[in-house]
Amino acid sequence: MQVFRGAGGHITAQQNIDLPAKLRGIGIGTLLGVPTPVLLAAAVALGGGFMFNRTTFGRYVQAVGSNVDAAVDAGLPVRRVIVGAYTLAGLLAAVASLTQTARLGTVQPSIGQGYELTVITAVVLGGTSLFGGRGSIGGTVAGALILTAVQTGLVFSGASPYVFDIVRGGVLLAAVLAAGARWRNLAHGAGLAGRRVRREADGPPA
Amino acid sequence: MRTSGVARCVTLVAAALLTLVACSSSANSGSAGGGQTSSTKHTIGVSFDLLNAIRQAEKSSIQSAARAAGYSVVFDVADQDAQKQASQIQDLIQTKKVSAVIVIAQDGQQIAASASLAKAHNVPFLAIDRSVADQQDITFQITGDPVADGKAVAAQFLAAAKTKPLKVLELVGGLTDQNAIGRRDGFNAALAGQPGVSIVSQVPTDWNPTQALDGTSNALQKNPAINAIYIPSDFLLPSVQSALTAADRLAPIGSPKHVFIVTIDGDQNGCKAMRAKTLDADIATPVSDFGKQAVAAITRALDGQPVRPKTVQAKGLTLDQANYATIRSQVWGLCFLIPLGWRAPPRSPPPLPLPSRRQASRGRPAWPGCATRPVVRAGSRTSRCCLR
Repeated sequence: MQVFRGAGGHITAQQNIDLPAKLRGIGIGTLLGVPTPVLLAAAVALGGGFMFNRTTFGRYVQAVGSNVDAAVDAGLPVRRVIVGAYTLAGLLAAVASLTQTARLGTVQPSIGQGYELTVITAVVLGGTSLFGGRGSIGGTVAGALILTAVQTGLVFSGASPYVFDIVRGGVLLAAVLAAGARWRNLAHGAGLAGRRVRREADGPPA
Repeated sequence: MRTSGVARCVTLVAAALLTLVACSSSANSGSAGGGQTSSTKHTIGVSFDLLNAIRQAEKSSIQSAARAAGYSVVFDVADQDAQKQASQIQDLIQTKKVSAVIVIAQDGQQIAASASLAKAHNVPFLAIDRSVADQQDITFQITGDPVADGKAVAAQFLAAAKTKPLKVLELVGGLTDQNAIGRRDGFNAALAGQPGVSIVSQVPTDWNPTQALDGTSNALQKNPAINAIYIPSDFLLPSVQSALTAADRLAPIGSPKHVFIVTIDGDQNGCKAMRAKTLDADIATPVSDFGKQAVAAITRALDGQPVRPKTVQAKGLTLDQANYATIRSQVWGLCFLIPLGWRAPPRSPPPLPLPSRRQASRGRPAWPGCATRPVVRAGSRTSRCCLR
């Protein structure tokens, strides 16, 4: 990423490049009264949901994310799945950056700095586990919507600029705590079940 | 086999990167070290916090001043990492043995350690653009005056409010950045209690163009009555213009739809908007002075003379639609050097198309009057045939 950011700075000499109006359709155009970026996001979410839940590749991605060793043992094409997942992520990042650049109307070499963290925040907020194997497209969409809604709501409520970071951080903290509690409950339940199974296997005490 | 293939790929990439670095560094030394032929062979080490449009201008101001004084320049960028900057400065002083260091500090507090290292090695240490908390080991410091700049913006708003009351959207830069805070505080202090101007919305941007775009769009939606915007850096101007375009509010001065806008910095963005008459005023930071004064201070310090004054705060120059024609030459940026009606010079005419297969098979002459493809000379619109 740093290599490409550097290359971007080198090519543009850190100056803005104005975008011709005809290239901005993807960012500011509308179709039947709906802004293009919204349609694009909906299409990507639907396509992603279908791929993640209804195709072999999606199942493979979940399996590899959950446990690589088990996936290898099961004979899954782990290498191809990982390369495929990263390629897809790259493609979607390109779509996002094109949309964002078109919205802004200029190519700014510094645009999108720190976005990787925002993306991770949205994904974690949507219930995806950072350790892999758990997550859903719907949750991610909800996470992104919550983040944006909080930001917009703060501007609308006329909050002090200092409050923005407090609220954003608070939302993330709450989400992580809630997710932690959920996993703990699940783990607790699994632990109990495991113990019961073991006890049954041992047979009733004499 | 696979490993050797991967190794080959990595080697290729590394070689390509090294070539790129060699090319760019030779280009740099070519531009910066032009004055090396003179008798002095001092090298100035420069460490910037980051590189953007305004830093680029500061860099060229240092380079041209250094070239004029016969110094060469070694240039480092710390990518907004205070630790990285400290080690870069250490490297400049101890390994590259530079004669002086010019720094734009990422962190005004942490840089004190680097300054005392420079003092221990008897190397003049100069801070530009960002002020340093501990002035003890600093040889010279030149910065803008963010509070004064904010006040200058407020003066523009107060002047405009005499004709009609202003409802202001105020964008704020990074809340941990002293420049952003100074620009905000100067503006707010000057407007406090003044009639005719009310700040209806304050939006933090964290110096992020996307946040500025979203924040402005949201604020315009919430308060359609907003008729003035304060942008603390030209860097965020394109974002605001995009938001205004989307809300159908971007209009030149004089139009009833026009939103009164004042920015600070005076870079290319401001310059373009000024010419398009969508920007009312721009408080231009005298960046070209930074390099000149810093290099002059280095010359004095290397001669063993005291540098007085040790700290300089350079106020911004107010450019507005009335005066920019006369004082634009003092502001950095090539934008003003290009006349308004300028168009790119015509390129040489495109080569004539090759005959399509269909044309060839039907036996039609592909190039009327010529047996073969005509040769077109660059720069002329006349063509001539190869065979007569």
